[in-house]
Amino acid sequence: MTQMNSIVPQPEFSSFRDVSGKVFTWNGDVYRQINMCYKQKYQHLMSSGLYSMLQKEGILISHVESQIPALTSDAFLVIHPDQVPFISYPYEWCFGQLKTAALVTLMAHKRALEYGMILKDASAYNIQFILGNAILIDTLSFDMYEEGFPWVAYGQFCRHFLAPLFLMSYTDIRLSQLLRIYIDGIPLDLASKLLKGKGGFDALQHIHWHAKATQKYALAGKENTPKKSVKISRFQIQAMIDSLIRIVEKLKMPDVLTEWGNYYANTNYTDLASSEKKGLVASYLAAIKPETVWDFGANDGTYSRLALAEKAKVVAYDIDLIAVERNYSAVKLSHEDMLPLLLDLTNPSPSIGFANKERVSLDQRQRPDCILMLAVIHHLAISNNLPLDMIAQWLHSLCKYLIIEFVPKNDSQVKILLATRDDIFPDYTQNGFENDFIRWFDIIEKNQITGSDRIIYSLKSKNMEV
Amino acid sequence: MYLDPGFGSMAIQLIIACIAGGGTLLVLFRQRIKSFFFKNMKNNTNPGDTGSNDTNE
Repeated sequence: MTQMNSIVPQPEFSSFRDVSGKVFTWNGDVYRQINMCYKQKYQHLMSSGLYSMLQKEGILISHVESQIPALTSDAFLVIHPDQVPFISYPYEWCFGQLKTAALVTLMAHKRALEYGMILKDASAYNIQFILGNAILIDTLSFDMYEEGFPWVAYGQFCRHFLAPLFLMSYTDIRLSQLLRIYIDGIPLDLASKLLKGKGGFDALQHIHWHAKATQKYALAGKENTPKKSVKISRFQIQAMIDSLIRIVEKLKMPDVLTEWGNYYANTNYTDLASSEKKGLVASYLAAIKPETVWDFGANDGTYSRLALAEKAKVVAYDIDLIAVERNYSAVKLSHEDMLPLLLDLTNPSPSIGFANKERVSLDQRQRPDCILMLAVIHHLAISNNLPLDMIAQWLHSLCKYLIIEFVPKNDSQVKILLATRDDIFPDYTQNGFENDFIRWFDIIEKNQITGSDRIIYSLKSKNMEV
Repeated sequence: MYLDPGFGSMAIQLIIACIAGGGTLLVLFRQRIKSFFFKNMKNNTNPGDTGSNDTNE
């Protein structure tokens, strides 16, 4: 969901599949139109006690009924849900986030069944994170339960949640990135091949057998074409949900050591320099007073939390899944206004899906007031050969203010990066950095950290309304 | 002509739901047996226990 301000209602492109309603933005807020065809189901959701139960358990986003005009004439009602600070996608989540999202989806279905409904969509994109909690944001995801009818969203649940969780747990944590290619979840036959029989009886049922059954019934005209429809009792469906909840709860992230997993134990900062850096960043943030902050290279969110102290909403990005996992575990307990996400700065999330508009790129989702980019520039410029001017131009297009740390060549961390390669970066100097960045930014303040040659800059984007 | 590929998910649910349902029944049955014997054992070891709070007497 893009959340750009607009005076006229803007339909949300990604809700085109849903006949029950339409999402749109108006005056900077997201609204949901409910169509006449969904009236009865909505009324059941609200009057049966299901909505109250889901609110009590923090499973479904809350809403109020709105008086603003609907988008189209087939509307029954417009609702104004709580606003999600930042829309994220499952390929940007760590293992813990995907697991929590899966459990929230299953709990929504379990509770729905208790009140005579089902969850008809088990899309991971319907789950978002607010204050560390995973929450279902699609109020129209519920349908009436029909006795004997199997769970229509079971296949989607397995593709969106179980397959990536099993692959991350048993094969490689990086396989969550398959979700970026397969927008409707990882094909189960592919998951089955990659798992190579791993995952025990749980994976055997929900991935391997499931993949075979999907292939078996894919083509009509075969001898095995089913003659009658499948009937499953309510008790069996409830037992299956409970079993799925137990399976997801059991799944664990593998023990892997990553480059950044223990970053703050391996920096070249002294305690004094580290505390001075924190003081500088905090004072820059206090002067800017940002409402929204992105922290690029946030690791466990140590510096992101300085922005929280300024009451900013923070998205803390890191390239390392273990670092994101660690940060998410902390946020899940503290309920801070921070969203840890996976991001490769050299290959940020693109726009994907139908017409390349269903899931939008990172830069279309929000324009933060301030970006923090501490101890990252040398990785982009030296490890990835990105010219400083191009980095400056890109950051200028993203934010209003930038707090950035320049790490010079004589720094021990940069020496490590240059140890195994030719130094083809004659312009990677403090002067070269400033020359390239002042084309796009004005320098508000800069300070060298005592006992180090690193410099922290506070910059303001040129020609931008701030 | 193609069948809805979702039918495979529906069909396999029949098997999976039967396994899950059977498992749940087994667990419930085991709990009942356990509680039956536990009750009997409790009755045998505390024949005079009427459920009153002795410490208050």
